[in-house]
Amino acid sequence: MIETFRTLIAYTFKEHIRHRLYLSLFLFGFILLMGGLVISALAVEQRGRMMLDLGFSAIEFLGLTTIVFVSVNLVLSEIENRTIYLVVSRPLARWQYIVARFIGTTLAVALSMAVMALLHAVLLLPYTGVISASTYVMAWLCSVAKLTVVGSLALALSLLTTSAPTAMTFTFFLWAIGHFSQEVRFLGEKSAHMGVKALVWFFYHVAPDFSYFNYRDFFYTATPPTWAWGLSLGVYAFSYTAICLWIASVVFSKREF
Amino acid sequence: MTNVIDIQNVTKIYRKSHLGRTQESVGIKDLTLTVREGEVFGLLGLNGCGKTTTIKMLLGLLRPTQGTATLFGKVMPDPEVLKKIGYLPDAAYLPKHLTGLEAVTYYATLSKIPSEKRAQAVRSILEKVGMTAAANKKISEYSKGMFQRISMAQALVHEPSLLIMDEPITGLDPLAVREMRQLVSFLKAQGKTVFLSSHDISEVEKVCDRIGILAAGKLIAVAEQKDWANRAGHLEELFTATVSRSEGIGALKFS
Repeated sequence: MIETFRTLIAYTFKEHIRHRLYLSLFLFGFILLMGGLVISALAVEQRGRMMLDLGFSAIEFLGLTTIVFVSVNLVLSEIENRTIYLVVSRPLARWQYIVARFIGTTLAVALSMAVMALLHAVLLLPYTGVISASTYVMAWLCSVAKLTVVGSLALALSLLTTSAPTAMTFTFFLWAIGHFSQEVRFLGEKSAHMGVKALVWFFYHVAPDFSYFNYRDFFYTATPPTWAWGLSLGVYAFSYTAICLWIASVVFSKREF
Repeated sequence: MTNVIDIQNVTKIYRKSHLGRTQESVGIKDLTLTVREGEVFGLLGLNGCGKTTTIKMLLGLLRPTQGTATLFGKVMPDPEVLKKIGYLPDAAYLPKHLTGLEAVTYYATLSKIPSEKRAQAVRSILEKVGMTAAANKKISEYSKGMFQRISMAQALVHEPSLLIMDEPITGLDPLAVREMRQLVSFLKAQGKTVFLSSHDISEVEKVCDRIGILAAGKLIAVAEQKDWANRAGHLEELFTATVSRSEGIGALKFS
């Protein structure tokens, strides 16, 4: 079983890193980071901070768009190309295929984010004292955890809707709601209409709460978050991802080709 | 001889729902068919008659709406049975980002060939399909013939007991058709079971021990080699007498 997993993960990883889009992503990331370098010149006093925020946002934005696009098409493209026939007609459980393909994708996106983060860190070198290396790494890990959750959500939605544009739209919608969880909940509570209340309640509970992942909020605070906070974040990300992959696996297992 | 394939009263109905409306179409209807061990069985029929549906059900890619389809006595998809099956689809559905060597190794691993035997099995099959020299080229750079060879390699790398081929000669040049015929004869000589679908009567009669004629999802006739051996044109007559075009297509009237 381990060997099947390793093979499928390696297959997926190669699929992504050999794709032209992957190289374009690096180019685009480089342009964004360099753009941050230019724009931050406007903030003479706070140039380091601005470069940190702009660069980090650029890395996360690129990671997000990549993982949504790639996860939504991960299985659908294999179904469309019919390469799936030669995989599901082999002795492997369908959930293995889903989980391994997802891990391969996450690793490929995490690698691209790591390379961009390295470049970003080099650009930040002259600005000592803006952020410590450990804080930067923690923030990067939180971003990867956030994208893992979004990726699993995109994959589950792609199999539930069977349409890439619909799955992408729903993913971005839930991503947006996930960033404003508390506000959405507040609006729901204030609404007098039962239908709106129920709808808001549903989306509030279905969408992931991304406020947990914003380690950047602690960049400039005196006290960094505790390990318990990190652990609870890890458990949350893992549980959400596991549920999404379970849904994707169940849907995929019932699917006919 | 034991039955490798046993299809009993299988019906497959496709259902498509759109805006609350459900459309149904029959893929195959009440199909009963057995294929014995070591036999080369050909499923003959026009386009859209249910050949691919039958094959997909044997592989577990589709589930029968009614009836049972078993391979080696097990309902599909059974992981142990899938280890014994090689599948050559109607077109080479291969991952284009891999090289030929990587692709065959990938399928060899998924077919559960033990790691200590895998490299040798992959080398050997690439040699047999004549792709050793081009094994390190990306599949996206391959010609159609090379695609077909790698597709063949992925189907045979794990030395399956049963090879299922969906329209294996469609679109092949005469030389490749002859090579495909040689492959089927070689597998038969090795005692393997071959199940293939085709609409090419002349090719099917050259390699098959038995044939089944499928029309509009129903098995119309089953013939054995002795029925057509030394009787030129017999199979074609049988075929044209039993099948009719589905989907309301009429015959050409140029005579």
